[in-house]
This record gives sequence, structure tokens and C-alpha cells, in this order.
Amino acid sequence: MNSTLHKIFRSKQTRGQFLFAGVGFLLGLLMLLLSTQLYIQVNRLFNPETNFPDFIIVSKKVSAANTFFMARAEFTPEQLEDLSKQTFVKQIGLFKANQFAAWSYGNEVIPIKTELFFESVPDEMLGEIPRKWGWEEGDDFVPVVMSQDFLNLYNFGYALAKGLPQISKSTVMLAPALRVKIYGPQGRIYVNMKIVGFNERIPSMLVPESFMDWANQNIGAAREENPARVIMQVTNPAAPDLLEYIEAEGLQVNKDKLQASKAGGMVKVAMTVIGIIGVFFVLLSLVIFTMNFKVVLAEAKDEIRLLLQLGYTTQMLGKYLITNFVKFISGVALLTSGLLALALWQVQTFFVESGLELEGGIEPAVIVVGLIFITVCVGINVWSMQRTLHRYG
Amino acid sequence: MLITYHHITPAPLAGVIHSQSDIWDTEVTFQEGTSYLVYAPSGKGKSTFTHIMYGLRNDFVGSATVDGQDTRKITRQTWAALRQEKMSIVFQDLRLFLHLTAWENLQVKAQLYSQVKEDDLLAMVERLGVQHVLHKQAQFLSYGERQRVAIIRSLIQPFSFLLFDDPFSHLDVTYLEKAATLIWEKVKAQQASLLMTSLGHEYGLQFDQKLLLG
Repeated sequence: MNSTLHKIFRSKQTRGQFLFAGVGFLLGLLMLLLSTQLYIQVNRLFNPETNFPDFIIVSKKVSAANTFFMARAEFTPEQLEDLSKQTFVKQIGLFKANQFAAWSYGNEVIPIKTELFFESVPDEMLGEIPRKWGWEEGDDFVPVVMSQDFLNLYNFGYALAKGLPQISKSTVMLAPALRVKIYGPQGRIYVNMKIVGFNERIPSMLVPESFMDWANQNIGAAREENPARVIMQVTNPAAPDLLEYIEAEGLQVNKDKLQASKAGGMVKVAMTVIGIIGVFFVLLSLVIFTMNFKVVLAEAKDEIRLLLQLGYTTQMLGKYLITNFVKFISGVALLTSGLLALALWQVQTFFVESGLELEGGIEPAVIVVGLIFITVCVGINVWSMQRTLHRYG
Repeated sequence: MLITYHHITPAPLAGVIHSQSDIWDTEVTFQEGTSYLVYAPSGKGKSTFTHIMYGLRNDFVGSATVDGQDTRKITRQTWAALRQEKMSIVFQDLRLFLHLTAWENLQVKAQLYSQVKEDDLLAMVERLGVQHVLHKQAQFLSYGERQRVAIIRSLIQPFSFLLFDDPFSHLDVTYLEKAATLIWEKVKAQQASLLMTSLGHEYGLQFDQKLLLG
């Protein structure tokens, strides 16, 4: 029975109306889903450590005197004891530096031959301990945790200048092990090193403490040294007595954590604005769509009246119209999903190429938002259709 | 089936109704199986009379009942059932879907009934001589051809009352007789009523009762 009804309702005019409404709906839905997805992902990217305790790295100020007299800017045991007694300190961890030299030969992924340095901190100060962390004598490779900043320096400084390809975090972690020569007063060995993770807090190349101890003892100078840097977990990084103490003792603090959280805040504001615009767009497209649909029904008013006069029930017409409407919406939604996947792929590629590590895939919340929007749209239009049919009946 | 008008005065005719009207402002009953001609000059409410009976307008004083039920209280659902099974109509303005073909116009009605056979439909088409325009859009048909299509459409369904709202005014004499025969066959076969309005012509049909509208 539908073929004749098709002919009654599908004039050229209504086809144009529906095309217009469909494009509005598609753009609105796409915009909404895209901004939801990016909002969630960027939010997560900039607030990875919101629940993590606050860590601060302190070091002695390096002055000209250090340079002239070759005096290390280091903490004495008395100073360390004094520091750990402060009320704002929860615990402190000491950095250990390498007492040996290291040389990387590079490989196809990380093509730089360079002198290297390493540090180590107690595992509990790492915050997030990567898989494959830890080292024992006889292991195939030594895991390394690298500072995110180093990768950025490489990608946006070195690689661009040298015309080398930029590399993402995931590429680095999947890269084959780096062959590294380690040599010192007690001899030389070759080890394989693998970057197993990134740390945004500690600006250094970190190896497991067990490896550092072993290498210093067996290859390096094997002497006791005072640490140059200390990482401490504090109760509140903005506490006034903390700042006073740092001033009084002539210490140096990495402040970028504070700045990073500011930048994160700004991105959040930007994404909120995009989100609000997205919602606005969606409401607009919903209105456009509903109005268009009403126009289509109004244009078919005489036809609907006549069908009812010929003995058609409002239920029959409602069922026909709703079925076709839902088919139409489903088609548009399907098309939107395709375009969304394409747009996300583009955006994510762009972000990753710019050094921001966005995960692939669609957030579940995006699917939920999409379904809610479609349901609301279908609901409103079915309701308006029922009302119209009853008015004509 | 019994249709009764209880002292009906349509709103547009209030104050201009003749006392000699057999229908307005009086009690009149239409019985299934009896055929009626309702005649009047132009502007005395012939279409209004038909539309009240078919449930299309409620702007009148008094009441109309179908099998004792007030037409104003009949639900949409019941009206649809009545229009599918009990009452068939040819409107004065015919009311075809102008951008559908003649055949599609018949299909719109026929697809409501699973028992309708295409052959029967084609037989009626042939008898009223519209087979040559069957696949032309209704808007390109002559008025007489449209009339015949509308008549066929009204005969597709089962009915107790067949309402003709003065549909013969432009019908070609050649087909008038054929149309009258076909209509009569269908009415008799179902022991139904033909209820026709006209200016006074009977168009060769036999009516049991003739009522003056006004």
C-alpha cells in the first residue's frame, strides 16, 4: 500500500524540504558529536594528574661560583634532614646521577647519536609506574622513562631543523631498543635501552634505581655523592611556608606545573565555548528540522484530509509517516557517523602530528549524546506529527 | 443502518430556511435499502447535507445520529471504520489526487480492501470508458473523465449508503446510462441505499423517495 502513499507524499517540493532539513540535522549532529568527543579528550589530556599527589622538584641555585670553582650545587646530608623535617613535606626522594658516560648509537626511529645522561628516583616518586619497569642484572634491556619535554624539544626543535621525521609517543614506545655504550673508570659495556613511558613531572631521563646503583658501582666511579636535586611530595604546593623556606634556603623550583595547569584551564574554557556553540547549533538544527517537517506536513494537508475522508485512519497515516521519518533519520544518522569517523580521524591525525597525544576511537559518551539527540528529535517530530494528524482529522 | 436528522439547521442557513423543507429543521430518517433523491436549487445546502451525513462538518443546530449515535460524538476511529465499510461518497468537487494517475487514484482506495480484485476494477474502468486515460495524471483528465474515475472509486468499497453529491452535472450522455446501470447493480447487490442530491434531475435512476431540501 505504501507505493501509492509514497507518490502522494513525495512531491519534488517535499524532497527539497527534506534534503534541506537533512543537511541541517546532519551538520548539527556532527558538530555536537565532534565537540563532545574533543571536549572529553582534550579535557583528559590536560588533566591527567588531577588526582595525583603534588610533587615538586627542588635544586640548589646554580651561580657563577659553581662554574668557576667546579663546586657542585648539591644538598648536604644536614640540609636533607632539615628539609624532610618541614611540616609541608610528606616525603622526599633523592635523585641519583650517573657516574659513568653513555653514548647512544641511535636507530631508524630515533636517529640521533648522542651523549646521554641518566638519573633515577625512588619508584614511588614516579607517580605512574609504566609496564616493563624495573631492572635486574641479566635483563634484556634497561627501561627508560623520558620527559615529555625532551620529546617536544626533539619534535619541534631538532627534527624540524634537521629535516627528520617527527615521532609520536606511541612510535617511540614501539621502537626497537637503542644500543647504548656505557663506559667509565671500571670498563665498558653495551646495553639495550627501551623507552617505556613518559613523565610530565620530572624533566630527566630516568632509569630504574637498581640499574643506576649497579652501573655506578660496576662501571662508574663508585663513589658516594650528594644529590643535586630532590623530589618531594608536598601537602599543598601553594602553601606560604613552603615558598618562604625555598626563598630562605636559596632553592630553585620547577614552576611549570603551575603554568601547565593554567594552560589546561584555558583550553578547558575554549572547549566549553565550543561545546556551548555546539549545543546552540544543535538546538538550531533541531528547530530548522522540526519547522521543515511541519512545512512538509502542512503542504500535504489536503492530501492527508482526503485520505482520512476516504477511510484511512490517523493511525495508518501516522504509522506510515513515522516509519518513513525514522528511516530518513536513521539514514542521516548513519551518514553522520561515517562523516564523524572521517572527521575524527583527520582531527586526531592533526593533533598527533602536532605532538598532542589524542587516543583514537569514539568516546562512549559521544554515542550516548548522539542517541539522546536523535531520540529527542524523533520524539518531538512524532509528537508534532500526531498533533497535526489529529487537527486535520 | 439508520441515519436520522433531528431538527438540523446548518449555521450558514440559519434564518433562511423555508417551512416546506423536508429535511432542515424537521425530523427525517434515512433507511438502509431505500433510495433518496434530495433536490434543491443552488445554495440551499446540498453539499452541507451530504457533508453532515459523512461527518465532515459539525456547524449545525440540532443533531444527526447514525444508528442512534450522535455524529458529533463518534470518534475518528469509528468514522474511519464507517467510511471504510458503511458509507461511500462521490464529492461534488470529486476530490481526486490530481498528481496521481487515474489508476493510482483507484489504488489509494482499493488497497484498503484485501478482497478487491484487479480484474473487477478493470471491468468497471472499461464499462465507464476511462481505460484510455488510466495512466494519465488526474489533472490532465477532462471533467467528465474525472467524474467517472470518482464514481468507480466510490464503488470499490462495501457500503450501506452511497452518497452522491450532485456528481452528474457534466457527465456525457453516452456514459450516463452506463454509469447509472453500474451504480444500480452495486446498490442492489448490497441492498444498500443511494442518496443523491441534485437540482432536480433524476438522471435515469429510480428513487423511492424524493425530498425537497429547501
